Amino acid sequence: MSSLTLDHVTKVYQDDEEEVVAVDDVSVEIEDEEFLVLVGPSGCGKSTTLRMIAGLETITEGEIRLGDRVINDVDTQDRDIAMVFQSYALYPHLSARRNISFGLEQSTDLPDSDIQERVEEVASMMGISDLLDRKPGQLSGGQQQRVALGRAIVRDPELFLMDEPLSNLDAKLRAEMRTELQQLQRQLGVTTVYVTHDQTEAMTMSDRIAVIDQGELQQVGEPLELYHEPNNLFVAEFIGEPSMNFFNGSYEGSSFVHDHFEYPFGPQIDDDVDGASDIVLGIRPEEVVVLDDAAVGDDPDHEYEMDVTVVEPMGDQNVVHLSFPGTDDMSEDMVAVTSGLREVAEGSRATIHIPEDTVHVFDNRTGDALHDRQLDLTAQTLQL
Amino acid sequence: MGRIEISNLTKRFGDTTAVENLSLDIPDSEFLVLVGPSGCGKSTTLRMIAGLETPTEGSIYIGGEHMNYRVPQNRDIAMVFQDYALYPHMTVRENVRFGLEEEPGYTSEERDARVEEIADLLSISDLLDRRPGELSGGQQQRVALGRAIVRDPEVFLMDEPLSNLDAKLRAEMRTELQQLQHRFDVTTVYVTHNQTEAMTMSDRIAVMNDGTLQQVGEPLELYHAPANRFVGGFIGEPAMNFVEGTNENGTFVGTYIEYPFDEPIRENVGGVEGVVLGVRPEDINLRRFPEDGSGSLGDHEFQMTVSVVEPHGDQNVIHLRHPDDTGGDELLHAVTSGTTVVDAGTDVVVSIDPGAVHVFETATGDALHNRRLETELEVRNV
Repeated sequence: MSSLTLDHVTKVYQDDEEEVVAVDDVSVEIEDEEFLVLVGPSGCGKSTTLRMIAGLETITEGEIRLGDRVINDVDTQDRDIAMVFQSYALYPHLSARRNISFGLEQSTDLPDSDIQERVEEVASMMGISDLLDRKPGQLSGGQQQRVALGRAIVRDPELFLMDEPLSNLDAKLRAEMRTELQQLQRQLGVTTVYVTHDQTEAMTMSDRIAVIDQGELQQVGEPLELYHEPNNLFVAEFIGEPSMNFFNGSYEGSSFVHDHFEYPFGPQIDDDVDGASDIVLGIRPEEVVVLDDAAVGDDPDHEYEMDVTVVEPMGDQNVVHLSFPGTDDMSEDMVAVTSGLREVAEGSRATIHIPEDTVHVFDNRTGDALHDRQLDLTAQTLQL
Repeated sequence: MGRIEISNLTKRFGDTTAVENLSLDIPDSEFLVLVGPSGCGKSTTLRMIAGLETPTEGSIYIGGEHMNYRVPQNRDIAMVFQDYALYPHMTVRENVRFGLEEEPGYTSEERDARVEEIADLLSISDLLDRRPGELSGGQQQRVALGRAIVRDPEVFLMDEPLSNLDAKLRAEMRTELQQLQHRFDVTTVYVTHNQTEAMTMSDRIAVMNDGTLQQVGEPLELYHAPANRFVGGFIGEPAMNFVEGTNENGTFVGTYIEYPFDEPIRENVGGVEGVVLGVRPEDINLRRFPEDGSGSLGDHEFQMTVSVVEPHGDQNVIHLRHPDDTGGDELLHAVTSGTTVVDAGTDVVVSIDPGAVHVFETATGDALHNRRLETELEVRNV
């Protein structure tokens, strides 16, 4: 078992005359047994980072250490890592059993009986014992993914590297496999780096998330830390579905001023925002309140009349699209999420409340967070 | 107008029945979503409406006219596919105009004017001289839609038009497509395997499985009053919980839990023996199990252990197993608010209100009893 350290890691590609920086000075420490998810949009450098850890790409600058051992110049097969890819890359002509045992047969001189025992053990852990004699073509996508995982686990590596292993599965199976993978990783206690573009996978599976954009690390933290205390606009927008609402405006005399509304700040936000001019107000859809008639007027400074343009019923909740009165009916200014049992009619006018303790404020020039919503992530109030 | 009537439609390929005895009436200007897992027959049904497949039995009418023997181009329909199939070497204007190419009765000036009119409706007027490669995914979709709508068809047929887009763009395009459909007011049949698209975009949903129609209804009708276990499980994300067991004198008895039915449930379940208890994850309430083990559990409460917590930010999905179950199989999953956090390994009390319970017959899958709702929905209407 091992920790993994990326120490000022940079990757530069030479593209004709031009230099392309794919990964720019990334430092992150992944603890022993930790499940770290590297997430970002396509082309952000996350897969390049994973490939450097795997030894499939050279490192231009910086150091990668597995435990105390610098592995920059160690060959892939000597790094004691196992990889799982999006395409399962199973041998179609070999049975599931042989697919799982193949790596062990090649890389160790264990006797056959030990290898078979190990394969059976892993297969039972993966719930595929009765599929061992089938060929990949006779297995479903989920079963093939289990075989691919079994092949990685059987080698008992120091480190798992996974590159979008669930992206070929349909939504329901993906949700199932998410939980299964997470449980398996806990059970095995193997340090894992998992690459995905899917923020839901990042949120639900990881111990910590590292968000990358344009080659640069944006933030590393626990899922709810990134969700409630994003460092900058990029993280705030990338994490969370539906996305946080953003309003571009200016900071004028203790208020946020937008084309369609004004939002007065209390002393604390005022303090945090002090000195900025172009600012962005952010609020998560589930914090936007569509007020019942009885509650209108409780906080008049932060209440706004808006038109309901589209309602998307999800069953458990409704996604309500809102626009400011007088704007084009195709424009959308804000998204609110309400409980599933609350009916909101399309075309109606509603009073919207934006509670002050739930807003985020960002500097529009740098993108940096000036103020995060008020929520003590360690507080007992969060506990069940 | 664009009313579509499908009666007793069957399609067989050799020994395989792809669609079986399907009847569906789609009123003019409705947005109907045909949804189901892959291989359920939804695309075959769409292709029969389009005229790309011949029905083995049954009839299709569009606007009251019998369509079975009509070639696609004489059905007054427009199709939008998963790949937009725009011509890369043509400008947006030429791509949209191409939709009119086969249409008689337009002068060249009229064609140009019609393209401008459609571009304006789709807010792509300033993109008309670009090529598809210069457009975003969302813009390309509008162009594809423009090419389809320019002929002013009676019916729109769409086959998974959003499935190539990433999650955020797909959510945006869902809303946009829905707004455009309302604006054009054209009867639309939209095929998808994605229940979220079905729920959020449609006027009504038709759920198919194994070639047969399972249920047709408004999104919330399917969500709260599923006709059978398949619909209950297919609609909703995370999925409805199902616990299998038997009905013993009005009490549900499963491997790990017993759940006494209240009077209204008993009436509906009657003497059926093999039953499945269904409950949506958001209808499960959790509280911490008292550390000293004190306090008694109510009739509709159980002690369980948290096995996995999936934080989503806005909500948490809590996976639960029964303490007596050493295999570690998940019995239920619950959804809590995003700011309610619980650690894996915690013992909790799970309570399930009888008002939120569904009961299905094991043998047939049919719903015997659906959750109660009416009052809540009435008072909360804005």
